[in-house]
Amino acid sequence: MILTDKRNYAKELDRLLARVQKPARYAGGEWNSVCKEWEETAVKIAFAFPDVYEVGMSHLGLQILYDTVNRRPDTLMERVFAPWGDMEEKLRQNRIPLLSIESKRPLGDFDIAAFTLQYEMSFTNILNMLDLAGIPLRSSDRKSGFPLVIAGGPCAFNPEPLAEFIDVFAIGEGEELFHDIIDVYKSAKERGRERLLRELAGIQGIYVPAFYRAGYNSDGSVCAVSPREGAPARVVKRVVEDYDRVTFPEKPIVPNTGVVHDRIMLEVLRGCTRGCRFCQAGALYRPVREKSPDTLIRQAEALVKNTGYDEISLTSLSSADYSGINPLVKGLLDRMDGLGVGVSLPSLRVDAFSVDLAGELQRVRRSSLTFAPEAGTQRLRDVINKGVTEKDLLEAVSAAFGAGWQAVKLYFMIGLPTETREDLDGIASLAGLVLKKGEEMGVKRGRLKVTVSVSSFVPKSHTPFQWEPQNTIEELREKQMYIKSLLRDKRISFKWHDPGVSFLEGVIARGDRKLSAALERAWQLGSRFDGWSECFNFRTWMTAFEDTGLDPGWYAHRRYDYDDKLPWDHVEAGMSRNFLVREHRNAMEASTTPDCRTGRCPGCGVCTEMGVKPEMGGGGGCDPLQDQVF
Amino acid sequence: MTRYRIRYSKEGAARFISHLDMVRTFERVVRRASLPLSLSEGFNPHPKFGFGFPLPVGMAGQNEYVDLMLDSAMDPEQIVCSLERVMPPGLRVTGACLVEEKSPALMAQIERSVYQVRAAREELPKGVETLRKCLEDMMGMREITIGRRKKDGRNVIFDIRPGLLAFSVREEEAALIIEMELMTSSSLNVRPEEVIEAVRGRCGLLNNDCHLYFTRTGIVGPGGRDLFICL
Repeated sequence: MILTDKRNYAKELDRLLARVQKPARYAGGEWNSVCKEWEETAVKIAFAFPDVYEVGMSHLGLQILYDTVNRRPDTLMERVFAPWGDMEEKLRQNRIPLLSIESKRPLGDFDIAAFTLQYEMSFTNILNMLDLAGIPLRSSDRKSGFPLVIAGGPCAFNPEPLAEFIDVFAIGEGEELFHDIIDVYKSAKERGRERLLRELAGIQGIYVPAFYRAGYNSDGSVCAVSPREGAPARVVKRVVEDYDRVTFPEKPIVPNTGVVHDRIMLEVLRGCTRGCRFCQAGALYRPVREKSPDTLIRQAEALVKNTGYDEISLTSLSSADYSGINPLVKGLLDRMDGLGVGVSLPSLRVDAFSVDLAGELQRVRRSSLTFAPEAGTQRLRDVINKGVTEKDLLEAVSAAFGAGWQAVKLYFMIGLPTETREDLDGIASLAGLVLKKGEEMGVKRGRLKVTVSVSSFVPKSHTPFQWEPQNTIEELREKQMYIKSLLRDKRISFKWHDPGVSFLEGVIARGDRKLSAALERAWQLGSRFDGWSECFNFRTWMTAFEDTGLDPGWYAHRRYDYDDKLPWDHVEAGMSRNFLVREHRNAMEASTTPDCRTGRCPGCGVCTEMGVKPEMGGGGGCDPLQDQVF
Repeated sequence: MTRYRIRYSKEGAARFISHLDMVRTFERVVRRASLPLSLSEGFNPHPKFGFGFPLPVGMAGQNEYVDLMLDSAMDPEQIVCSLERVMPPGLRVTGACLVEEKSPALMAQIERSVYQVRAAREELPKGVETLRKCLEDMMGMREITIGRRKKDGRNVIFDIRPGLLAFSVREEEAALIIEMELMTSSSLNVRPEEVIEAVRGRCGLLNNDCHLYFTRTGIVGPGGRDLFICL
């Protein structure tokens, strides 16, 4: 802990709040927030979210870990968010360090600062938060007296770009891993930082980058990330022992101000069996596990009582896939209807079943329905293993228009491997077919609307497409303009992502340890909140790469060979390399792989690697192959 | 249906909850308290609330009111107890009253608000007597104009004197306390910051960027009528 002088930061902050935008972001005092006795609690942890309060408070992982840790009498967890620019300026002017929401203590006073890595474009905020806390950015500059800086979440699966800044990465699910970290911290903290790190490195799922040396080939590519001092050669992700019974926050913090997801988030299942080849979440969160309906109904009732929310969102990567979704929804509606509490699904599968379900839940047709066919032709949908046909989509939109929705949003990706002009034409023609379907279904003139939203493919680690190059910014921009030129109908609106942002996502997502220098330089040059279009500055980033002698295009546009050493090879998400190679080859042949819910195990290797099994608490079944399949 | 007036205070961290967010916060509070709420008709039923004049973000409130409709009658003491258990830090329920169901909306019954502005005494180098004299002079004026920025961005000159009903200053230990009663109705509304601005402009007594702590201590009806009278 840094010794700070005895200033009354709470009072100083209170005065600043009158002069910043949205002061409720920093004020705290929310229902169910936990404020423990500082002096009497052995371990103090700050959950640091590298984005604004409204984004961080919409993140279920924050609520889960806050609850998990605060259940321990020996530990407290408070929250810290990235201050928006106006607040950062005021903090720096008044020499106030970054403070926690609960007790308004400096981040540097905590034993552990735990960052969550949800998005590559929040990385500069991590550096900024450390700097605002007076904590040296580089792990090697932090002697004892500073907090242990740890980081977890999906982007921790390629930890290398942040390896210079983070002491300890936590790979995989945190509910049990966090307890192990705290236990080791308590027993080893008195014995010095080096010893503490060494003992932490012995926990499954912990990666301590200081114990690994990154070696490079003459062309700059990674030749090895090799362990030293007895650290494990492969860091295997953590998966909770029993998902149905693992602690779930039944008393989540209820924000005092509107946040992005301002409702009960009831996690019905974890993982996804669909196996879309571009999807990193699908790879990282396997195996699929469902909570039992009894657990879910009990949790839903407790959550309504403890929060006062009027909406329960059934969250997961694909909630309509829950085995017993119909009885579950009926059971929830029976109990919630009299209370004026609604039930909703955050995302829809592309099929009529999902639409019928959404129609049952959403009695007022408030907004549009969103579907993600992802690609414009059947060939390309087979390449990415998106098990959706044109027929599925047309049935889904028919059901939607028939049930009273008048607007439909379609999500696509461009720059996917093997993409041709024909696939881009397919996006426009699908949009046209959906529009035509709307006319046929008698949607009122002037109300019918189709939105085509196009994002750009970013190759991600641990997926079958991890070896694939990303399109250049110019290619992406040209494709966007091409699609725009095809969508002439006024009832179709077209949205696209900034290709400069997608490019940087690609650079960082497949980056190595050398990138640390560029991240730090970009932060020095003023990069903050790079995921926010009003803050993102492409030129700044290019200057940062120039200043540090790195070629960002080399990271993004490179095609890796199967035999190449990848910067994240020492971090194990469970899918075998052989499976990824096979999936990549299947993709090139536009050959699909079945969903493991169909009962035909594709042999991804997660279950055998992790010694786990899919848990279909909702009543479905699927049996993993017990032997590795090649 | 029965209508209750809830009296509450808003202090500390809760001062930064905006009026819009207060509506949402109260919806959640009453749901947590499991009160027999009367919901609006329609597909999207909502609890029925009647709020008073919005409290600006950052300002404390000691005696704020909100009306709520319940389906069945309840002992007001019971309502207070149920709500107190589920209020977020900084918000406290201090009373509940049964009121006439058909009486006009709370908002329409409000005419004036009483405010207290607190500053450290060193923010007033020339002493409290000079300030008191200045205030008396101001109360004697027929017109006190300030600049006001309208919603459309136009700046207009606005006379706050008709909305300035009472004004006093006193010292309390190391603090300087200014109290004022201002019109807060739909036809004439004067904000306490505007009065402070006028004091600054005319007497130049308060230090320029001194920290002021604003509290609304009460809300009253025409002629100072108490709005918290139980049936």
